[in-house]
Amino acid sequence: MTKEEYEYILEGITQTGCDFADIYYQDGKTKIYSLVDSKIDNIKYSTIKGLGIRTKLEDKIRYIATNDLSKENIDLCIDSLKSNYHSCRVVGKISLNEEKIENIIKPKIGHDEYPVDKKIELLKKIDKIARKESKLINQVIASIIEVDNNFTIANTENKLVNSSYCNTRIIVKVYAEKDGNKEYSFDRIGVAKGYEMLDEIDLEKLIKNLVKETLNKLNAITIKGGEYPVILARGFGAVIFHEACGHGLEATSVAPKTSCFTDLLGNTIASEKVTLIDDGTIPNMWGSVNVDDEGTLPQKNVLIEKGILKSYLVDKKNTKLMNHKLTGSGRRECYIYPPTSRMNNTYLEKGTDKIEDMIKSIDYGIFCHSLGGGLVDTTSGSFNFCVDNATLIEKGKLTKPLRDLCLIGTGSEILKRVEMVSDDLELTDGYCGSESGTVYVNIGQPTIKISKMLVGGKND
Amino acid sequence: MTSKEFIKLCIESGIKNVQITINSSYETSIKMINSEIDKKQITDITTYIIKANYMNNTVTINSEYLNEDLINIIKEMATYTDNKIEEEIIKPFNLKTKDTFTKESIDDLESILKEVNDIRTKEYKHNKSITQEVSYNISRKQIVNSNGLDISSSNSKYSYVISSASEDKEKSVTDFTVTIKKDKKDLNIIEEAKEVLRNNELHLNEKTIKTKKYKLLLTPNITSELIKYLIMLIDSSNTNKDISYLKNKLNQKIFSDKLTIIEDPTDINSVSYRPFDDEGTKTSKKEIVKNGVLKTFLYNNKNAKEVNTKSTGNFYNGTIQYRNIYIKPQNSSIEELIEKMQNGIIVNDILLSSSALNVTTGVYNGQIFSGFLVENGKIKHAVKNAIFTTDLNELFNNIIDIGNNLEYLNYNIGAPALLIDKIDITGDNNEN
Repeated sequence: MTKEEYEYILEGITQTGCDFADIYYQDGKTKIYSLVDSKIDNIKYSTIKGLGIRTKLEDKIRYIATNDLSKENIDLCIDSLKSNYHSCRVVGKISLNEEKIENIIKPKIGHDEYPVDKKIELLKKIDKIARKESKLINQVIASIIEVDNNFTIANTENKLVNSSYCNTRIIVKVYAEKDGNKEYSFDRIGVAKGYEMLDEIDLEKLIKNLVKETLNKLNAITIKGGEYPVILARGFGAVIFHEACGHGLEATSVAPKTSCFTDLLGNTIASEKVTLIDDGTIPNMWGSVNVDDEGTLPQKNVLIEKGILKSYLVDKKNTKLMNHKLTGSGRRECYIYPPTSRMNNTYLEKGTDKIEDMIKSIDYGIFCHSLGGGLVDTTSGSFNFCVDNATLIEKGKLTKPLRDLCLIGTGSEILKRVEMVSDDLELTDGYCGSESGTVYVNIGQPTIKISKMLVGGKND
Repeated sequence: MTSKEFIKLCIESGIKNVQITINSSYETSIKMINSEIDKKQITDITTYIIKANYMNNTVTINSEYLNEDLINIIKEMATYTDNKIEEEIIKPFNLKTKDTFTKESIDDLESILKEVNDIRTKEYKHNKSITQEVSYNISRKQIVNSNGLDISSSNSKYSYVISSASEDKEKSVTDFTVTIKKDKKDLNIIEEAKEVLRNNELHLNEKTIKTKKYKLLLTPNITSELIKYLIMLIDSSNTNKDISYLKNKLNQKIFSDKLTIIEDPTDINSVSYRPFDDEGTKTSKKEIVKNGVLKTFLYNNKNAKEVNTKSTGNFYNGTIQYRNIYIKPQNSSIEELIEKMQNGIIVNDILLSSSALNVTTGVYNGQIFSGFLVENGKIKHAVKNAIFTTDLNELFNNIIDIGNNLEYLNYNIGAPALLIDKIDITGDNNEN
């Protein structure tokens, strides 16, 4: 679309009194190469191309999403949005100025530049390594996901921004079977860069660890449900902070005062060991953006500092209502959704405790090496997540592999129970689903000890 | 470029058996937070699923437009795929369908949402806020192919979602519900809202429970979730890859003989009526589980061909899905089920993470988000902080009784209440 076309739409929709309007135009594609049963099972290709037009009066939103880009349909959209307001125009004449932004996502080897043969070869190599590690491996599923997305934001502040993403992700799942007992594990690496990522990762090590983990699970035992001290390993263990407090700090729940963290800025909400950051500016990280989905530059936001709540995550809709600065957190899955405040790369700052000391300090507890996805209710702060891989701790030593565990708690309780924080900070990639769809996020933490958590188990 | 022009271009480029499924969706929604309209949205989207054969391989593309570039993509995808499965496309057939729906306004429902807010402020003193969203959706599906097929069908639905937050000095609690109906007049917004508001206040009195095995009365909301997870286990994408623990269980009695699960996309009165799936396969009424015996897996054309069987007409939106699936209800009312349970937990809502079900083992665990402890047939108090740990095998084998209240909370799934025996629950009450 041209600058003039954006101006035409903005001029049209602002005639009847909205106080802000913006357009999000998106043109993107996704390609997924999948290997199953040691062969390329399928290659999926999808495209997305459409327009989201938002008008706002105070904090009330009117939104139209369409992928019919004909002049006739655009005029219908303009009329429909205009009909929501019954006053005089309040925004000035639209004269868009293109804003140049410094890209922090800079792919060196783009998806189309890397030969398809090499992508296929990579998937087959993954399969070969995994199967060679053990005869008990009976299935390997591996995928490469490539996402290229170009988008433009134009708004009534006369801002015109063009930007893009380039995200690449490799996913490996291995399945093992022994005496009719089946288990599986998966791991992934996702980055906001192109195929140069292959020079920076040790895929062989990742696969071998995955096989080892899966074989361990075949011998795992269940434990009785109850409260236990829990160590959460570095990396994806941080899903607890993402769920337990990250979502509760988003303006989406703070502005309507439904979050358990509403009106707590400046208050102690966590152990002093907790400093939580959300940073969309880390170069080439999976959850980073060149610009957020409403045209604001990403920032490094200190959310909690030594236990004290310092900031929320705030988008344009809520900045005035909450009297809080914009944090570059307006995000959406695609043009179908209006943006809302969302996390980017959220992590717990490293501490100084030693993992050996954490294990030694526990008489009977659980070391969670990896967690599955989690879910939170932001009002009560209640959350849960499933444990993917864990080991029992007995008398200060790691003993038996565990299975079928689920952890629950509330954000306000857990944040105060962080007892020890090590220095091995690691961030890993994932997806986050919320009101504006599914967005790419990183979550991270060093290994931490939580004094007690409620753990679901079998009671036989 | 029209679909027919695109098909012509494909054929001229040496691509065979081209079929395009055109999905058009129009949705209008109103979201209200307390007394204010927070957002009004219209979404009007058309997407194309292209299926085509090249070099003895069938490939699929999802696109929001049709253009010449897609031809090269089809060829590249087919060239690099090892899975040499050439799918047939269907021949033209006549289909009588109910077709057009008009783009109706739902602005008249605003006043009902406001009435709910008035009720909340007058009658529920602990309520802090409510969020309500009402929407109307029309979806139209058309399939055209290089055999000359041109069929279409439409459907529409209304939905209402309410989320309520209440608080006292000690805590905040939330409850929510979703209702989906074919006709606007059947959206019983005020009654649905009152039930959520009532439950929400009751939750302020929630207490912890002891860790042990309990009888559970699963409300239709939870039963819907169970069916959703069961489908993952009989999805041929998982059984063909040998990663579902039900792979070798076809025609075996795996669940309680009380359990019969039916899929009927051909019911024209259903909100998920679909006379054909996205590959054009005619759908039919079928028993998936009959008296505890697993009768079929769910297939699309590709997966069916891999194991030398026929598609069951379960391909929607690019994956294996289902339309109008339900557990066959039996005779007991909710009150009778509570009486039969005597002691246990009524589970109204669960909080499940994306990894709540392990497809490989069937293990299923999550959090009871809204539940009530029942003692001697009477509700004692709401349940706080409890985890269930089970597997689908145990759940569906421990069925004591099935309710008569078939409800559609998810537009695809109809579910009655289930009374289940002896499930492991972890609570954090270690005092009594």
